[in-house]
Amino acid sequence: MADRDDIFADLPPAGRKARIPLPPPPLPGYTADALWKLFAVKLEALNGRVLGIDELDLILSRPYFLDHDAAAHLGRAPGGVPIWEAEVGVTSADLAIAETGTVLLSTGPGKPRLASLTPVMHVVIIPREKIVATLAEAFSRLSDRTTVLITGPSRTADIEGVLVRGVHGPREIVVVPV
Amino acid sequence: MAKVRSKPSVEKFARGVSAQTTESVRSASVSKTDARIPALKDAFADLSTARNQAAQIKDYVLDNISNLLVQLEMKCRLNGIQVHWARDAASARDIILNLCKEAAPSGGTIVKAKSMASEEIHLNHHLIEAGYKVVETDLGEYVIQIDNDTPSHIVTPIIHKSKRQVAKSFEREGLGPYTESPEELAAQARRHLRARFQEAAIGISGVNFAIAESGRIVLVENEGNNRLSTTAPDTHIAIMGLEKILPSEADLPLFLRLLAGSATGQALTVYTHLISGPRRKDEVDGPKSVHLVILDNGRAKILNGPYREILRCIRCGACLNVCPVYRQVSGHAYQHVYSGPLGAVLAPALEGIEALPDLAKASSLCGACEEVCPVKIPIPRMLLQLRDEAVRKGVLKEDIPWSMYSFGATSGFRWRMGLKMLPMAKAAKHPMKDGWTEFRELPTKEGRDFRKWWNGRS
Repeated sequence: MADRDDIFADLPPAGRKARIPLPPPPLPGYTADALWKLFAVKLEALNGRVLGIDELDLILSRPYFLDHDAAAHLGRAPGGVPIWEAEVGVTSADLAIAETGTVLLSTGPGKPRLASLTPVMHVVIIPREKIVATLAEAFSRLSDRTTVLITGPSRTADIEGVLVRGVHGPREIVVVPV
Repeated sequence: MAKVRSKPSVEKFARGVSAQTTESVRSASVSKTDARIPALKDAFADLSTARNQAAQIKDYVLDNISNLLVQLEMKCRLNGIQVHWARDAASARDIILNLCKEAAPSGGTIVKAKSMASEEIHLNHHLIEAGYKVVETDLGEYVIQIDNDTPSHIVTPIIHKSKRQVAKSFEREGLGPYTESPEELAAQARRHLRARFQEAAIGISGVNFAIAESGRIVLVENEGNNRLSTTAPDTHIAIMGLEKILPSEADLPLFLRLLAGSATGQALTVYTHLISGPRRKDEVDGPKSVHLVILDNGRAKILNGPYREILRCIRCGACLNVCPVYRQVSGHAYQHVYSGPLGAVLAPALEGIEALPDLAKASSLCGACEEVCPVKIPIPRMLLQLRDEAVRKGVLKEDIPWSMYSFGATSGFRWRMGLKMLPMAKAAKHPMKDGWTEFRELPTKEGRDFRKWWNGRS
């Protein structure tokens, strides 16, 4: 605690400047359908895909792990192979964010964090109405759980600036509105 | 008087940089700079307003830092994140080593996500000496570690290396056969590091933003190694400079988009991780304990001085990418973990001008760094101020040619004599003109003489 006292003794006294408020986020006024169209454009630009629920058979023929909520949407049993061995991780998400093609996942019961991370393919199941236009709207609806925003497949450009996908996380991301 | 440093000056170092390195750094810097504007224009209707807002929010943070730190500490504790305070690098190293000893008394693997704060305190060396196997997991940082190198860019640490060099290093370390495909090299690293994530008891990361209002740690990355390092092991230790606070989560959209756009031309980084504390009872994975080490190491001192605005920095690296000096000499020339225009201010501000007196000279003062800075840090003004401070403290000598120039230019008589002698300078082999004539010819005087014409006109 000696360090803490030393640091605070050195810090300048609190200023009196008022906080400048951020401008309010623009009013949405878009239908979910319009937002999903924008979402698909943004995600496809990142090499992700938006698929229908009936287009998953081939993907689910590979060893997969399914989280609780996603399993309920798909009418399958949750679980599957151990997460570290799964080729496909199927998870639910809380929200889709149209302006950046992002999905927002929080942790919780039946929702392991690693399911969206260690498999080479990540499939995200989201109820159709759970889409917002902007990041600002998404952040105003955060839960108090650890949360991750995922924008496209894992990537690196460390070697000569060449874009490589799937360096540690999934190489492919598929989003399925239901 | 302070001792004048005997390390090689930036200028001398720059002469030793290979043409290949300069070309690697220059082309990567150019492509990142080109990607920046389209991404930011797409994110913000009015980029200038967005940058002003971000600068104002960071100034608010710096003005109210002690209150915000108290709030952050309290909210983190409520979230189950244990907060530790480190006055300096040695204290931070000891705190982290003790946490490691608690979590894994008999040693073992520590996976590390990229963190400039951990580079700043030279953490790896300390933990390795204590018997831990520390593995950097960011692809670039991993290459740096196995090559015993240091990062030459704060965002893309191996900007100075070619794929052939990476391939040779991986072959040497037994990751796989030599290949010049970046795709295959990344796959080799993925396979090798996967086992490290599974065996590690401890993960260490930096912090991009810490939210005072919610007590949440925010980490951004593209590869997934950061999420793995902070999710798979049972203990997560995060280290942050004390200025990395944002007041509330409502501030995040602005900063996340400015950071991703300025750093790599992305709309948003692939992963934005908001950590609310350790694994809860009803959760199946995630670390069982989360520690936040808040580092001063000279920052409180900067807050009270003329370089305070450098603490607005969000480490996007845009000023490095755009800087003509950085592009030519690359990051190692700055001889500090923080390089480029940012480093030229932050490094001497943290360590004292006596330790790094000539960094402020590593700039042409063209102003590009301030132009691209997402939080509008007046870097050129601070570089001038540092030069002034260095000369006043006697730790930086003006170059002899400039002293002679100012001697000559401050008297009419001496100036006229000098002009008459200029044609002779071209012929002479003179040390004064070496820097100039290495790449250029001295001009030959042509035409009539202005002074003669002026004096003779009627």
